[in-house]
Amino acid sequence: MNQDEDVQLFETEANELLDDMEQSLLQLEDDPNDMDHINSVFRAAHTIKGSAGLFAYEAVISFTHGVESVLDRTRAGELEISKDLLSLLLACRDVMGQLVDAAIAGHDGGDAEVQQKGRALSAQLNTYLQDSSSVPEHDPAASDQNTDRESIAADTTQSDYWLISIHFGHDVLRNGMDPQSFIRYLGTQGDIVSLITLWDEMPAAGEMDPESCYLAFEIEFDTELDKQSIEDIFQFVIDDCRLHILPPMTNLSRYQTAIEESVTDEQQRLGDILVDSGAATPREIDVALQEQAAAQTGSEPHEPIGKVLQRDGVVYPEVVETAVKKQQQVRLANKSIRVSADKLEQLIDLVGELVISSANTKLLGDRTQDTALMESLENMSRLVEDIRDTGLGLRMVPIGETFNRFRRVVRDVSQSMGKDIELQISGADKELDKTVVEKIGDPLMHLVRNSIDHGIEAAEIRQQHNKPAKGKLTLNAYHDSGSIVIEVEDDGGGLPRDKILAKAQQLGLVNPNQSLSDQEIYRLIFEPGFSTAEQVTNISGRGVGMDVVRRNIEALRGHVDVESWPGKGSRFSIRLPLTLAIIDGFLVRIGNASYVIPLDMVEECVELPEQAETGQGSNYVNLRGEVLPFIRLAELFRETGSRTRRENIVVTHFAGQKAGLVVDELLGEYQTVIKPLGRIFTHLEGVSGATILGSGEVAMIIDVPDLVQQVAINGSQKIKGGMEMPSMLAH
Amino acid sequence: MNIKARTVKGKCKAKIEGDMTVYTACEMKEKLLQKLAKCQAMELDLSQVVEFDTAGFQLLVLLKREAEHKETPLLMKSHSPAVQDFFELYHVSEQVERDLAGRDHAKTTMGEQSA
Repeated sequence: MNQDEDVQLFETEANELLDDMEQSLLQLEDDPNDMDHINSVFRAAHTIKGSAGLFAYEAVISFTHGVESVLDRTRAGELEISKDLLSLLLACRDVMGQLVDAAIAGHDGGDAEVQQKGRALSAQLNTYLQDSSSVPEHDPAASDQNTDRESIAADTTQSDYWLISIHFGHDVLRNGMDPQSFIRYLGTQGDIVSLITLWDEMPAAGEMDPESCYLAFEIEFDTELDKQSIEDIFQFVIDDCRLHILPPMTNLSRYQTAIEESVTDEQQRLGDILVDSGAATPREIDVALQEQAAAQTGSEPHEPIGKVLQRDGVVYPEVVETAVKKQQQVRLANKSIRVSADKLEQLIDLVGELVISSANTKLLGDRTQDTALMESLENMSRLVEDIRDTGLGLRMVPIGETFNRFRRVVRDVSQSMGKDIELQISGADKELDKTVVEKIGDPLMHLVRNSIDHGIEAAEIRQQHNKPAKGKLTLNAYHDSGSIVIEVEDDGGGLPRDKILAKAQQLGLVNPNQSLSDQEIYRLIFEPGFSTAEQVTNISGRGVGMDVVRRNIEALRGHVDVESWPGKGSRFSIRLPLTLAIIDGFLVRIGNASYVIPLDMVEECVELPEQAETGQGSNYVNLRGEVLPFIRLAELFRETGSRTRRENIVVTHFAGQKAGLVVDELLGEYQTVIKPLGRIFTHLEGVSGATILGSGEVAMIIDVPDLVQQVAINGSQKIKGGMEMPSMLAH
Repeated sequence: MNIKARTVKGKCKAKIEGDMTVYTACEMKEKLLQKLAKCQAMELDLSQVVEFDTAGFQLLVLLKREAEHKETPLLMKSHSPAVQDFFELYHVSEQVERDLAGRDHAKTTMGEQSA
């Protein structure tokens, strides 16, 4: 590994830790006494300092040291976590980030601004350190550990042999076993260097039961056996004795090496690591776990298992340390396996090709009518499907990380505006494609800021309206028919309907005599040009950049909508496809060409009733008592060629709206790899991409959201206004 | 198991014949402690012990400890091969009497440490 890679590793690690630190600090605001979070903040600072040390990034080290010292005091309970302290620590975290970035860029110490900020914060940190300088500097944990180590070391340094301490249980003799046989057997398995027989547990003559065993032995043992084998010697009395086996000091480094060199992808518990390395036996871990559970009182956190094992004299502290380190390494490595995005793209591309070629093979196979071959092909295409899903799954990441970034934003922005706003997050575990996640951050940021800025009113106004002074902002995500829906909801005043309408009329977006539903009016804020509105009090910002938000989301084949309730709040929902690469398609024929409709959006297929054969463009059928607007795709795409006598309607739905697409023939399900259309085709309406069929033919992918909306809007215009009101799109 | 004992001028000379094991331990404990209680000094001949185990060993330890407690001199002598072997195994072979007394005391402190 060269220096560059090391630095890169440091960068990723530091950024991850800084994120952790931020999250934990924010969590601490809610629950200042949560030791887990305090520890995690400390660990982050500590690790960054340590890693920076490797590269001699002096500025990072010295600044982080101050942070770490303060954190250490909070950890020891000498310092209360206060809101001020948290703000200070958050600010420190930011400076740490800047210092790390600067250091990586080869400019350790950063520019003057950062330096000044750092100095100011360090000074503030110092006040926390001095506050109670009267309290003697004493870290109980550290000193305990030292004494532990000393006592064990004192017991063992003189010994290069195994130390076996065994206290036999009282019933051993009654159970027909005699300690002497174990000692004798031990003698055959190695060299008993020294043995001390202890009988301190024997009670006074009156109570002494001659059939009970009161003996204990301390044995120095020289052997090639490992710990488990030694323990096995005593297996017949294992439940009826207290057995401690401490390995020779010479084994210390052997265990450490074994732990360090062990290769594992799995998250392992400390005990397992120790057992695998041979430093401890499963029984010893069990005993320690029991002790740990028994010692736990109330809500106090468990004593770490490593500590228990150390105290029991099962393992050396050094071995525990190594194991803990290893565990953390695995934990870090486990969080994510870093694969370059290119490689992943390549894999997904190949999977795409595989899907196409397997579709082709299947077509050819079907032609042969060879059942065995078809069966095997069926099997293969199932596997290919699995590979596709797993492959795409590799790129899926939970949205939660993106959501969490907004905690800080909400906190900072609301504080700067003097508002008290609580952020609620739900559906953080919902996954979507990494490329989508990356691109959704900015539009989301816009919506969130917007809601804080203009959605949620100032506390006084809220109280006047009998609303809680604390505003609420909700980020929510859920899956809905092949899409993910992300909602940004606030409980503010809602969108100002009349002002938007007035503005839109002023800008010529709507005719004064046009009648629009409230929803349609709210949607106007996404219109380009609306954003350029002059800064009118309440509307300003409400519209600014909204068209950009819409454009960004539509670029992801997504869709944004807004709902609003006067006085109660508003909700922006972003609907996005889960992935950009491959979809399950429904293959249809229109004229002589094949088209693909995304299967997620297909609800059902019905034959087109003959009485519906009327009019041009938009039409309606009666679908089980429901008015279903439909559109003839042959007309839309101007396909000619052999028309079938009976046409079919594919009923599609998107975002709660339904529309029928009339096609000539239904060809069935088809896995589709989306090939984006070239730049010159971007203006094409009604198609969102293309794909290559197994036969080599190109098929267009129908842009259902676009069509559904067109059909629905046309339909609603006609129904509402009758024929005298021309549809909006007709203009 | 059999204990042959005779007491001359308060000094009890006892000889254990047969087994000193967990099977005879209860009976033997009573007898030995009784004899120890009645005499001013005791001499224990172990030459005729055939079987010897941990229970037997514990009895000797107990007896020795009681003797110390009552400040009655107790001498164990002529360990039979079985006893000898056992003492070696438990590393208490040489100078059993003095050893037991001395070690018993020393061990108390060590025992606390290790406990």
